[in-house]
Amino acid sequence: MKGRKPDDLTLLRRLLESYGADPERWPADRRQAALQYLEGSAEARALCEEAAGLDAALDRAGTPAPAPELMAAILAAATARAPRFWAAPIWPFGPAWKPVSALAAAAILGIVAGSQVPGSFASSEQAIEGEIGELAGMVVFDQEGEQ
Amino acid sequence: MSSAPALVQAIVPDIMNGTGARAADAELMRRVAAGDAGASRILVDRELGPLIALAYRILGNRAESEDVAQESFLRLWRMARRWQPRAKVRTWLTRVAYNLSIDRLRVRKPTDPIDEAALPASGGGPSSALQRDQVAHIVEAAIALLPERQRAAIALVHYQEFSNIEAAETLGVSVDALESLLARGRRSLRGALADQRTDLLGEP
Repeated sequence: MKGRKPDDLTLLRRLLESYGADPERWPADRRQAALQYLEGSAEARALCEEAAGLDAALDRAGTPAPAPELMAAILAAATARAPRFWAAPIWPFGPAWKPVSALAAAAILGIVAGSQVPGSFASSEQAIEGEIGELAGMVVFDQEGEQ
Repeated sequence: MSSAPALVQAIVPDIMNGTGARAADAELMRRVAAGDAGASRILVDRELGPLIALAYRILGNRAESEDVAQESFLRLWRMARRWQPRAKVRTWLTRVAYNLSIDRLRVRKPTDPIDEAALPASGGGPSSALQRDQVAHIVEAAIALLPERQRAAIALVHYQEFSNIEAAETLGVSVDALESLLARGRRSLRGALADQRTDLLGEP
């Protein structure tokens, strides 16, 4: 083809001989140049059809499908290797870190929230002092009664 | 020669897809390590078929290809806790399966036949199914007669749809050497299938 460098055909021929006619299989760094050449060359298209014939023949080869027993054995091996979670009987839903993290987060939140409430400890102390005062009064009253 | 923007346009999506796929696979492997059966199933559903196909292309025997696939997965499960997102699971499994297959070929008698019973029955009438199976067997036999490196190169690039770089790394050769293996393999196949040109190669 006029105006094309002589190595364009060589480039396309090498791609077709190595990777076949499907441009998706061609290396990305050479794909664009080869496609451009292919568009303008009848000779290139003939080579491409020839390679497509061999691709189609290769696609007619059979492949055994995976047996269900094999899949089951492989999956069982994955489960057997997994770490055993101590609470699996009560948490059979997945990885251990999820419930443990949730419990830890709840505990930390409770402690932080409790320590941040103003006067909570002072109120408790006042209540205790009040109870002691009442008990003391009762003792005084009992002693007076005995006299 | 392609322009620089065209080159970048062609390569960047491949890089991005590779990075995303590696990250997604790393997440699946983290879940496998934590005992998530769903993650294991995703990987088995996705990878077992291609892995058996690869081993079958190289070994030509169903039982052996299943053994290779199973051993490859057992090694993957053992790697789960130490998995790093440097490779895609498929690339890693393929390399393991390729090496296991080559190891088996090395200790095998040179004349072990293709396992005819492994080829799948297809839909359609009895005669068309028989014809399809015969065609499949002819192609299988032609592939089996290739030297092992050429066979593996075609298995990786045509059937596994590996990139040239992935296939070359799996085989431990340069991209130039890979292309030479592919070209010689395909040339030999064309010659071997020449008798069935009309049926197989679409030529008169």
